[in-house]
Amino acid sequence: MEVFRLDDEELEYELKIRGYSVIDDRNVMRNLLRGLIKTGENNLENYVIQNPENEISICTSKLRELKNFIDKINDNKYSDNYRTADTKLSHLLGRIDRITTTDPKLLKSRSILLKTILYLMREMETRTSVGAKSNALSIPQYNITPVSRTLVITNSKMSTNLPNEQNNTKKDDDQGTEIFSHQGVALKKTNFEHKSDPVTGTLSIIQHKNGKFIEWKSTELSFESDNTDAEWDVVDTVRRRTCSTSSNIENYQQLPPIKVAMSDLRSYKIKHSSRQISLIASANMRYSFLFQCGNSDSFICALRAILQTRRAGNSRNTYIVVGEREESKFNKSFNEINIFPDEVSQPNVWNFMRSLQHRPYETTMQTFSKLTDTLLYRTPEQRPVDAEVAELLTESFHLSENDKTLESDYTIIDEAKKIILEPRPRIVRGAPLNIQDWASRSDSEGRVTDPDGIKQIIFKGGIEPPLRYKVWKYLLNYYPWNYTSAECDALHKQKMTEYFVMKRQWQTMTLEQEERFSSFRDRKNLVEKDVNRTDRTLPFYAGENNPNLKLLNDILMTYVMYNFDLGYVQGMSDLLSPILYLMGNEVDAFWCFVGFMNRVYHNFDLDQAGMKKQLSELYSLLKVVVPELTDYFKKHESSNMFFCFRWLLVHFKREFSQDEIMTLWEIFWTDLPCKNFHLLFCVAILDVERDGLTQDGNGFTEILKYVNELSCKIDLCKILTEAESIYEQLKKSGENIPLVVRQIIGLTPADENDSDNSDDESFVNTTYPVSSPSRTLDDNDSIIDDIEKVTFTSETGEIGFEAFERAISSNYY
Amino acid sequence: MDKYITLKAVQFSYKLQIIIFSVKYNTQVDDYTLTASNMTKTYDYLFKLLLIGDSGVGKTSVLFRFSEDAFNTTFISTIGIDFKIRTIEMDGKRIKLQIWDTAGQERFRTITTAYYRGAMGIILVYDVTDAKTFENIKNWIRNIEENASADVEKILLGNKCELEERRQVSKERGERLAVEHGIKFLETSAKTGANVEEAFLTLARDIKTKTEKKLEASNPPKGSIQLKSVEQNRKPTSWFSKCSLL
Repeated sequence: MEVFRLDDEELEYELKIRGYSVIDDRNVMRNLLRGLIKTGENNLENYVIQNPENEISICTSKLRELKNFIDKINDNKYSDNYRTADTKLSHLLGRIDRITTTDPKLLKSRSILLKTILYLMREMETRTSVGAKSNALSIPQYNITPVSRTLVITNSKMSTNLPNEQNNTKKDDDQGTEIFSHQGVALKKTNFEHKSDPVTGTLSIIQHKNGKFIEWKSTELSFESDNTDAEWDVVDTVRRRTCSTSSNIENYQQLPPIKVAMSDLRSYKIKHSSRQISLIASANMRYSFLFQCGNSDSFICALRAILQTRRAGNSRNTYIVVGEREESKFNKSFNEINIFPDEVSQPNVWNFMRSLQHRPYETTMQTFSKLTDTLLYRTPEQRPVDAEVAELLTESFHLSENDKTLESDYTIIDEAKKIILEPRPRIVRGAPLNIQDWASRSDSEGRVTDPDGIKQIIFKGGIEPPLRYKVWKYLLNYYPWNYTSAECDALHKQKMTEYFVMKRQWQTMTLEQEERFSSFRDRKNLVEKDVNRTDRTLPFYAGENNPNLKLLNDILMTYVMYNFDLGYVQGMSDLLSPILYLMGNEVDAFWCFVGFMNRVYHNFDLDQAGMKKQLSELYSLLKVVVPELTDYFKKHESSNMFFCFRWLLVHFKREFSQDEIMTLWEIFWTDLPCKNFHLLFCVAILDVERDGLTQDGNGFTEILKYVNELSCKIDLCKILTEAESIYEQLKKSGENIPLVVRQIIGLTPADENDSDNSDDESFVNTTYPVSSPSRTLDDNDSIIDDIEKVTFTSETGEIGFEAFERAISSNYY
Repeated sequence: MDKYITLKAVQFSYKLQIIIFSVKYNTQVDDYTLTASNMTKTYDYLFKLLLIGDSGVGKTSVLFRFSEDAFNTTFISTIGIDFKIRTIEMDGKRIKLQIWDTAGQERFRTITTAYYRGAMGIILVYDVTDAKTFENIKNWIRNIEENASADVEKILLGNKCELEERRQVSKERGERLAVEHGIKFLETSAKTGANVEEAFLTLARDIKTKTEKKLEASNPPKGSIQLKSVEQNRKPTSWFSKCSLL
């Protein structure tokens, strides 16, 4: 840590955690801290942060300041500003890491802060690395003096330690473009000379005018050349680790940098689970590097982007260089490098973040360099700013804003392992349920003897329109399957009475009552607004003063009385419209609507938890079935799946014609072949529309537009076939698919008590905090109390104006 | 080879400029039409606007009037979110307006709030024939304060002003509220088209002025990026086409 870059408050903090009280003189503090760091006298574990809340708010404001500071950094990574930012970031990282709390709110804030730091680190890398590259050729900006002795390896001659004048002068104006760089790489072996004390340095791939080179520079050299206060924090910590096992400090100064032309590389060998890599340029030229931080994966990946390699026959870990990739393929190679961090290092980073919580200060500091390195090549467009991070940085972040569980921050990980699914079987759809099917499955008294058989037929082919009127009542749990015709009639009479009782309740409300009953007034107002704009293009609802509109209104108002807590939510009129059209009378339509609402009321949760849960489950399913799409959505800031919101909220009502939607719904109501089949239906649409969704690098807006415009263009039969096929595929794949996904579609019963299954947690896209359904109604407690005290006596009155919003907003914020 | 590196460097520098530009001015740079021989940008600025207000005040109709210059008497409630695009020209600059239309009901605010964040302009709509929707405007403003960026431009619209006989909110009340919150105000009619165009153009102009002011203020200091250079420096590349808001 470059102590002199810390301000007083930060110095005081660093001393405090090391058990020293505050001293007035800044220089004394600096010297003391420097000494403490050097001697490694850090009793950091013992220090307990007294006021975590206060700490978090300090760190938050500091991060914001730092963000503004970093925004202004325009020069390379050796600049003063960069390093100040670097120091402050690592100070904050340690500081936030040290906050221990059990309060979920604070934990959440803490994890957002950590994310923000990560984001800022990436941000810094972008600015500096891209900035340096763009400047590299136009204005030679690097001020690092080239080292005096360069070890050059060429194809034919074995020249070592040649102070090559020509080469050096050339190097002066050809600093090259850094393609890749990894700090904390120790040189372990040069040729056959084994180094007992590995020397730490930086391994990079540099694009020079005359080709690409692998270069390694001892850390010390590059530092002494441009830095008088040799305290660069990132590398410093790495060095210290080396020092602790070695006393041979002279070694550093003696090691010349190494430069291997890419074209000379013959093969490389990976050892010690990727921690060590040996580069072989010719039989006698061999270098072994030890990755002290992280592993060589990222380096290898960068290397492969440039070189074509194949695995050597005799050794599993040896790769033979076939040749350099052609220049025309360079773009592709670039992409490969770019894509890489998404595929591999991101999980690493998050794993790191996860473990960060439990690890002491030192680890944090050491891993810091690793982080910046592995993220070096992520280009900015691949870095969606986390909403929370953005919030924090735009100062709209409040400590108490979210009380979601901490887990949600750590599980948004893409699992690297691919799931192998069985092939999708061919599905044949059947004929719709007809009167003969129905008759043969019911007895003489009208009982349905084989409801499962009937459902099976419906699932395969829907219902013939004339029969719908009858069958829907069963499907929607209005009539029990085992009731005789007589019992059904009796039930109908009873339900009719019930309906009109409830209808009278709202009809007899006086104007005066309404004025003092805003919750009711608001609901009424909303219903009226939506009734006038529900399916008005259909003949059944078209025209001024259409009596069916009144029925629609009355049913929805009665439903408000039936389920006042839920009230009326936009979308419900869409769900009722086809039912009323089919039933033609308000009593049957109402009770069928109740049945439908019982299935989907979570869609209308006050906090939208039901919708969020479904979107999240949809993502999990899609991830298993069409991982390419979830990868794509993730890269294009669309993993929230918001574009499927309308599909789910009104169960595709807006996507199909009246006739089709009735078929689709009756199929959903069979609960076959599994629960959440509507989610598989979504997956099927997305899969079928995959090309359109991902064309031209569509981002969220384009995807949304595309999905919205799919309305009335979806081939129902094709999607149903596809969705069923996907179900069969998942079923056959059995244990290959994650437990969470099996639970979503009911292949494995969901365990009520154990919601977080550690094996599969990474598959749950917990972007959405999913709360239990019961919670949503709690928010309404006060309203419920009000309602229970109200009696309904007087006559119908005119509608007053008050919007629904206000009543609820008091619970909202 | 040298040539190649130079090209790469130019591309890098260009890419960087685009990114910095898009970050600084909160502008999305995604609409370059990229072909090897011909590269034209379809607009100079992209402004993201957001329509909010109570359910049924006519947000979708106002938007439909502006984007299609039409009025549809078969209304339909908005579920979830949608947006419409219209490109306008102002002082020789092509401005692409991406206008987001949201569901009005409180319940969906958890979803719609996500869209406040990137908005550069917000159009608050109430219904002059429904006093409640007017009273709720202050809740919507509070919502904006909590969720949108602090310097977002706003405009208040009292819609359905053609329904004079059913009016519940006087123009003066609307004006007073607007003055209170320091925002502009217009009475509009999606049905007749009155003031709809003006409303959007006013908002667009305010954002444009602000953007350009920011641009000037942050300009010179050496090495910083000028809008001009972005425009001049168009070079066909394959991989910055995905460049989007950071």
